[in-house]
Amino acid sequence: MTVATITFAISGLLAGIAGVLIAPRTFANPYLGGTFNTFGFVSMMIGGTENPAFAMAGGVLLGVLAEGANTYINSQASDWFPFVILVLVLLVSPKGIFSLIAAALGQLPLLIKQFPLYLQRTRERVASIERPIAVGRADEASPLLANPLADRLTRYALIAAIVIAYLVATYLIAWADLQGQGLILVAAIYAILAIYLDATAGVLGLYSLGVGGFFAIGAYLTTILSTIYGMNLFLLIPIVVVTTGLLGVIGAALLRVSGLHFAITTFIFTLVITVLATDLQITNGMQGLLGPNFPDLRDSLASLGSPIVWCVMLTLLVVTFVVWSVRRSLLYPVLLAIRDAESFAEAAGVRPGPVKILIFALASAAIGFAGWLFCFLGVVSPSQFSWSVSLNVLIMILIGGINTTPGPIFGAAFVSMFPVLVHINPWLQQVLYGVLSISVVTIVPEGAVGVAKRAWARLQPTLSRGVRPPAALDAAPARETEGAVERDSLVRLFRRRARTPRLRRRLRRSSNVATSHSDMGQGRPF
Amino acid sequence: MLQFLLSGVSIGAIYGLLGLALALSFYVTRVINFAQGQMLTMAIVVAASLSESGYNPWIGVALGPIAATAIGVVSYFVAVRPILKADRFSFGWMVSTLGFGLALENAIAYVVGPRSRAFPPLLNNIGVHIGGVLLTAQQILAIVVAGVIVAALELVRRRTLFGKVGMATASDPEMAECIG
Amino acid sequence: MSVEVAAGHIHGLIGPNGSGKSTLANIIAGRLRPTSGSIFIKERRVDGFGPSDCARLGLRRSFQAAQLIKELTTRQNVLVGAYGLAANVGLRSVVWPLLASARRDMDRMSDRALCALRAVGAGGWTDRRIRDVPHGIEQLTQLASVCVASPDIIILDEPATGLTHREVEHLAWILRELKGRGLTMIVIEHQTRFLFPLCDPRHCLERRRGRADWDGRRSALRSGREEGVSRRMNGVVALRRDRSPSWPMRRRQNQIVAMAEGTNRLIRKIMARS
Repeated sequence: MTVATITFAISGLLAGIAGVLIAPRTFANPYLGGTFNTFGFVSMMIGGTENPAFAMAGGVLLGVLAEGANTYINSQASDWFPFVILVLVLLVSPKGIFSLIAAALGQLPLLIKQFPLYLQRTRERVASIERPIAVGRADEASPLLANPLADRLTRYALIAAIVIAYLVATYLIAWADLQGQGLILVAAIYAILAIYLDATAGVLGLYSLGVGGFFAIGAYLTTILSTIYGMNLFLLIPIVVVTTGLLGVIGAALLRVSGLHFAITTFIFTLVITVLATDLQITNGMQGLLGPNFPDLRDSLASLGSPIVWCVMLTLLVVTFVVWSVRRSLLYPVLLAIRDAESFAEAAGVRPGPVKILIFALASAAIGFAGWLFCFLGVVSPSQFSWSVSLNVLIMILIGGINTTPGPIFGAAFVSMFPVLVHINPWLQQVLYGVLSISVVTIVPEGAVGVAKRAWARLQPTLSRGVRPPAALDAAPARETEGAVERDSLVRLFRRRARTPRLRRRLRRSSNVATSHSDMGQGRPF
Repeated sequence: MLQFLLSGVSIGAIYGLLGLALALSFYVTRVINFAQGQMLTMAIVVAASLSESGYNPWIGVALGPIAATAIGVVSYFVAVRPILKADRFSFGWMVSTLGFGLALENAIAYVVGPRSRAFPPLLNNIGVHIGGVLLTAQQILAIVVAGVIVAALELVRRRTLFGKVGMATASDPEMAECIG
Repeated sequence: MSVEVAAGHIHGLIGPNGSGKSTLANIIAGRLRPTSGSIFIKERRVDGFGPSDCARLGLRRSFQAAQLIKELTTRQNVLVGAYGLAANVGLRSVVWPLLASARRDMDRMSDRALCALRAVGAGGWTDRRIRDVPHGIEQLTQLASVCVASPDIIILDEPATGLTHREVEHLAWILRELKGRGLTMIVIEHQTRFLFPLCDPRHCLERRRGRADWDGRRSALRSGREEGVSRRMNGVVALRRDRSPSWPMRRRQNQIVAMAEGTNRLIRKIMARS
């Protein structure tokens, strides 16, 4: 522990020295930290993690390039230039340039020898791979799993009740006063952001700090294109969604590096977008732009109240539903496997790379859409999208409960309503958020929903916890009967072996008919 | 062209110092302190407010890094150590160091106010001509300091016992902890 | 080295720590890339394929330290192994509860997972989370996830680690049953008493293997050293460790031991008669 303490002390010292060295050249304001963080992180990534001194080399390189950009491109180029450099470096060498150089010098002969082999193997690999082996006919339904119809109907009734209550609440909100509306809408949009971040971070393990950046792109793109260029608002939806989705794809392509590098890159992304928003003429700097007005509904629907409320709340409903259904699908264990045990997932035939890229791109597109929704709520200015917003969304998930369905919604409601209910100095409020984030991660990592679940479990001791543990293998049932069960299971498992694909497809088609017949026998609806 | 090259090197030296701070903490403890930028700000703000209050600016220059060091240690004990104790491989420190940075930034804003303040241009006014290029003494100082620090760090890492302990902790933290 | 594994048989791989058993398994399964030589699965050349591609060809493997999802039940973990069996899972997952076909597939796969768990003898633990389950059951869950997709070839990396005596016997029984179903198995194991009775008299050919270590210093490049003579013993391939004094333990997974210069033997795997 002492080693770590001393190391952190030295790091602090170095940062301090850097600070006083730069002080005479700039103005001292408390928010410098963010900008310099960008440069510091990029230096570290360029240098690589093999040797800390490489970070210095990376910094010098970055400085020269930034000054060059300042001189030859534009005096403000050094704001976004580091990010471009970072992306290039990560594409070329995830471990940083200098580490690559050092490693390459050591490995050069082997690399040269391997190159033709690599080419040859790539060529051979492009030849098609067999389609995944699909099981032909369905196994007979096991009695353990048949969902009794009554049970399912009760569940449907419950879900329908929740949805109806939600729609009624939306109607009430649509007619409420503007201030209350504004509060709830902001909370709802943050809930959408939180749900998507939970889907990437909680389920898939991709800790993206780029929420603020994608959110900003969505909002600014909509505002600029609609107020300045006069484009149709609804036409902008696909534009915004596709843009953020594509950016998400590029970002996720950098995912082949570790999750930490991904977090850092997205962090820097948000910082850069914020800085761009402050610098560019078109975004009107720190004051921001006034968002467009949401078009009114047709007269026939006017009785529903404010249209933007319906838009936002319906989006929230759809988003919650989508994530909820993924959690109940066959994809869910696979996603968790990619998060926790990637080699296990790979060994089962899953390709983690494309899955991660796809999900991250979809989440980014959705966050861009949330930006589209957000700009109708008022002013769009850089301070609303800074890196502290990304952090706020993460805090929302952590408070509410990571990797749960109601968690992010609850967290979003709590965090966004908090400043309105408790009136304190805005700076102290942010300090409180910071302290909250530290304490949540330290003390209650599973969030409110997790705490609730544990309390519930403790109140219900007779449920699964208390059941007598099943007979372990060491207990001695009759060998023959035990063997019989297992042999029978093995037979069912391996009954159908792989045959030619065409034959299998024909089998499958005919078997679907067989399945539906057997389903009818069981009383299950189609 | 040499102008921007040299001035680039000087500002790069500062970026590199910050990157070095980050890389060092990562190298030894596998944790990245997202609040480093805020520590830099802390040093600047401390120095600036001291000089504004009338003290000799050089005192501010000395106290700034000391304040940053103290904050660094505090950040370790508050934001990093509890997480690592609970589960060595979790990523929770990312959130907690970010939160620490957020809290620090806004605490500074609360205490000294958010407006920018100028810092006396200590060495910035002295110009030095090198091969037809104008550099301020401040810039040269930055390069020199950075170079000295890097050399010192390498020396410490390779030769002294502390350095070797640091490298050992980097490659196998649990074993290092077992050994003490 | 050159190894040939016949279909439908169990082949063992033993050797001291660091002799390259897990490396060989990783190379076959696609996690590591050989610097030279080739691997054939069912007469198809697969070196350079990734692990997910090898899995789709019908080869499944288990890991020495079972990596499972702690917060899910054993059955859900086995469902991961059944990934490729239902079509279009990703696409349908966004509206999963609404689709009747999705419910059917879920039931089918769940049933299959249950089957697999029962087959390996962990049938009583299907709804317990992995973090509440003893180590032996974790190993069995891994085995079940390997079997659930009816693979043709299985590589087991030290499956008997940490199992009690009774559990090891049970494991041997399961493996014999699987062989009866026509599976080909490669088992890496330390416990020879467990392994030797399992493997067949018909064994794979193993010729002398030479090794060279690449550790960055050119002077260290050797060729064709004395070690590596294997013993043909009931289908078990024994790898000997390089006895030279400066042989370091490789820790980084991506560093492959380079083959000896001049030896360009092919690695033939599993010429299946399918």
